[in-house]
Amino acid sequence: MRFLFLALSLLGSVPYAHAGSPAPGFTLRDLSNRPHTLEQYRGKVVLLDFWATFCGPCLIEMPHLQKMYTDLAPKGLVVLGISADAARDQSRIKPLVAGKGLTYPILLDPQTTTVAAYNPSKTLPYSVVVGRDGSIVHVHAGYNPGDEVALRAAVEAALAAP
Amino acid sequence: MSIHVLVLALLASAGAGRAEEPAARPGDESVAAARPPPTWGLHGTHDVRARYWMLDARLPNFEDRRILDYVEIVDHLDLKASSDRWTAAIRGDAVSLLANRYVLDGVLTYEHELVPDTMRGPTADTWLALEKASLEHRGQHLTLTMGDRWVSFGRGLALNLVKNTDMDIDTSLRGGHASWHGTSVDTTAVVGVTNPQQVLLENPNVRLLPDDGHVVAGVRVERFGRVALGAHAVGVQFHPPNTADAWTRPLGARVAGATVDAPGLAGIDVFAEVDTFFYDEDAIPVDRGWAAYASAGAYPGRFQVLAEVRAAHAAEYLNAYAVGYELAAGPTLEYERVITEDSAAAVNSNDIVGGRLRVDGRWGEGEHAFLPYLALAAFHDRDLGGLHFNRSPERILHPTFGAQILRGETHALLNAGVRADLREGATSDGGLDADRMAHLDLDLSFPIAGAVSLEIAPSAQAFGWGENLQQQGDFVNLSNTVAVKFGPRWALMAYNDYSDNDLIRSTGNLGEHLYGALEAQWIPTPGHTLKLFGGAYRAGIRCAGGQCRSLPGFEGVRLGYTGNF
Repeated sequence: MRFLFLALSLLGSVPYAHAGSPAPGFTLRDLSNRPHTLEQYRGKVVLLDFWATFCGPCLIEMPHLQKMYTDLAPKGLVVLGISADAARDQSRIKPLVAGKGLTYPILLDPQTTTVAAYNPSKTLPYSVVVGRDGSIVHVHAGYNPGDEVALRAAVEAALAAP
Repeated sequence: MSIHVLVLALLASAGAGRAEEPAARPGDESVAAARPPPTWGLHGTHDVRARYWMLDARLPNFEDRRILDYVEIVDHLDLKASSDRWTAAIRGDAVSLLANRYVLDGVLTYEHELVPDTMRGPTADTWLALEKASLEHRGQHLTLTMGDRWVSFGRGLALNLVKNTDMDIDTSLRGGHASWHGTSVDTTAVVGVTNPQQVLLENPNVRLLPDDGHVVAGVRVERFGRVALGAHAVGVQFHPPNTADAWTRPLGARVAGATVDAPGLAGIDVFAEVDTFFYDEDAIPVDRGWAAYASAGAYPGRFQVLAEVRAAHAAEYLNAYAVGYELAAGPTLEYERVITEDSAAAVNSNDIVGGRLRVDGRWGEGEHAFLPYLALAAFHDRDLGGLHFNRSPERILHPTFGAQILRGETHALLNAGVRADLREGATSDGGLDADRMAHLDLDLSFPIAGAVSLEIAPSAQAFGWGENLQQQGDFVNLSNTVAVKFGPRWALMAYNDYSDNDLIRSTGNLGEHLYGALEAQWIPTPGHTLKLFGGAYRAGIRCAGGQCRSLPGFEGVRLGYTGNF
């Protein structure tokens, strides 16, 4: 009971402080082996989508991200899908991406170090919006129907910020 | 208990230090974006599970059952300080069992010995450890890491130490790691000692496994271009003794491998890897082995075609001394959601060749699409040792089919198939000797009204044995999950399991073979999740990421908290 009380009281005292932190840098290669760094997108709003081929909710969310990318890329949005699949599953990624008709870059993180840098629990899907200044402005774990509305609102707010 | 209170108190004080910052709500993020660019940040994740575990386990060959009745509390605390160039990270793990001890005739007795004699815990039923620690610097091209880091080479056949969240496996390499990312060349060098995670988060901790400390060194170079060529080498010293000969005796295992990666070559993505294994351990019955994997992907029109082949001989001996995890795990080409005690042997076979062909199609676009697939996997498993039940080599056929249907917020995912493990030879009465399995799983989610949605996920397996070294009974596994989600904050789940598999050592709470449970999930603020579970689920073997683990059943109550701060 003491444990439960402490855990519940903790919820009120700990701020959700991912927002405002600098986004950890990374260098990852895409499905064509081209390197991408987070730094090269400085000045744009970047939506990082951590996903995996075995993650059902990730696959449901992807068409919504593609629509967001299509609509908002002209306003400065970059979407980077970062696969949390282990090295052994990498051959399955491109057929899945092709089947979904995704056009935003898919990056490979076979050693899962970038995934862990943002999300030690490795909950999937995991969405991180990085502002134009390189700081994290929004984080969302998991996907339920309708979550894409709140995510889009966060992205549009970041795009509207100076 | 005091350990967990201390951790929570520290966490609470960290939060109090930031009390001047308003708690973020959806829509607050633009305020953060308007601030000056930050130079560093401190954040963490705290996972807590408190389980009241009433284990009613079936003992092999006895009518009696073993009954355990105690509370288990588990903490995983990740802390990370990072700037755009530096990251320092630690993870502390703690587990303790309450109401697990009694005094009998003046002697303190632990009912359940969580911490074996070879490990040092505060008590026999409490364990506390700084599980992971690392310091990383990321330069423009060079990344240096001291401490714990995950590493894999190629497709994982030679080295694959990564976190496997599905299986509660998290083995890192504790040592030094250097990566050079050039325009056309990537180089990685690692040396360290394997550091497996002791404390399971999602599954009951029965008896902790000590660190086994295999020394691993490896280097991989990959040159990118139209065709990317890679080469790697790995050396392993198993269980090095604390004597001088640890540095002078031959390595227990050496692996050398090469990869070819040609994405989009004439419209086809081609990948191939070959590795050779050399052993110098008395307990390993061979001197060398090999493993190979290749894949080809093509995209004609609305279809996606993926062909994969794998072959391995005596490659699994690399994992012989790694208890509870694997040093290397390449593609298995199996549908791992339906691995049974029988087919787990093929996943970790020391003599197997096989392949899988999968064709996916797509009709429709974006949020309104129909995505069916057909797949056929075939293997020739010649290994009779290890986990194998069969007395002769097997030819395995496993066709599967399925579809994903998207219609706005409605989503359905279906997978089904049949598997036959055909023995080379007839049964004693001249019949077809084969293990057979049929399986089906479905995941259906759709909105009901407003922000309320429903998810239903039933699955079924029916398994029939052929003639085995030790005969077991045929069995049926059924499970179902019904989840009602009330917007982004609340969800209620109901779980049902049924299994009459003689090989599992748990009994149901609703009947000998029937298990039931309820769970409520609450997300009070973004980044914080509370889950309350009550009921039972069955024991059984689970496989994911090429790794299989026999997990205990559970009956009782579980409170889980995950917080990001």
